[in-house]
Amino acid sequence: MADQELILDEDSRDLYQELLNVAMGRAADMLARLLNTFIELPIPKVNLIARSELDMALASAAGKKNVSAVCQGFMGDAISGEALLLLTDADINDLITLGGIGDQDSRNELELLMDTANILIGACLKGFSEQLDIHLTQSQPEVLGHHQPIERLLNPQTSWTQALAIEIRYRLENRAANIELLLLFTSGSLEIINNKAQYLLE
Amino acid sequence: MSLADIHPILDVIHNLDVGIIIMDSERRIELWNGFMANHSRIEAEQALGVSIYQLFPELDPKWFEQKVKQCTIIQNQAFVTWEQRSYVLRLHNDRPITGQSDFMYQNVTFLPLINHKGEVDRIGLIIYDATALASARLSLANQAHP
Repeated sequence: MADQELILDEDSRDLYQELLNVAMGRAADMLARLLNTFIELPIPKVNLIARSELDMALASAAGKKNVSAVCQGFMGDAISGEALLLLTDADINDLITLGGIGDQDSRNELELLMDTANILIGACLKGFSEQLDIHLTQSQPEVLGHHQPIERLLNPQTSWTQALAIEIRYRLENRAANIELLLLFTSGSLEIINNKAQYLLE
Repeated sequence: MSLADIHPILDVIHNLDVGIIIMDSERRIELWNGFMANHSRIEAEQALGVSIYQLFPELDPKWFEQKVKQCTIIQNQAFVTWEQRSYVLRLHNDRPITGQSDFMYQNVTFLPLINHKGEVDRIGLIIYDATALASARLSLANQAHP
């Protein structure tokens, strides 16, 4: 199963795109209420990626700047994957001025990072799982690289070869911050998502 | 589920090695499991119906309410790790004699509890003891940067 090359046909791509569009619509509404700022609704990019491509995608996302990342595993109904939130140091400084998240008094960067992850990952996964009528269990989030070069973000020990990657780039009104959320689904999850989504289309 | 079925579940909840709290919309305690009683030294009878801010006067309401708001609006769990904040509620350590710290480092999950109308009217807290991990990480860090 793991060795079999996966192919993403147009119909499936459209399906994932649609699922995510609806999820993002719900997420944006919640985020606007929580942060009192307008979130530009990004169009998610859906791709099957190999491991080496993930390394490249991460590197290009962060440019050459130092980056912090939070990763959080999720699983439920035989669907599993990880959410990866990437922010550059400049984004963090920009977010510190935003109300509704972090610890405004101490300006604790780690707190801000975790809050942003809770909100963006949570809102998106919630929207996604509600549509498919599944219950996802989320692991404790982990801070991967705090002011570390991005190469250190990936652990070369794991054995996966291919994954479905959904890339969502958030922009906040009047702010330069450009926050990237990657949802990575294991190859084994795709068949289950397809089956569940068929009910939505009928 | 009958009443007889609920008893073993409650028994497990009270014996879990994880703190479980349920609060109403005024942050008054509705469930306080054995872990919470043992580590806070506040018995369930004393905790039930009392505000969490009264039980933990050093808990910053502004900070805590922000976390509650996050998980209420998004209707999804919110997480706090020991790395960002050593603990949410100051609790006693498991190892009072050989332990490395006076308090329990915690990973805490805020859980929105949704009623039959689809509204979040209660908040659950799940408190994991992260002291062993935190002590190991901190002592490694101290060796690297003495």
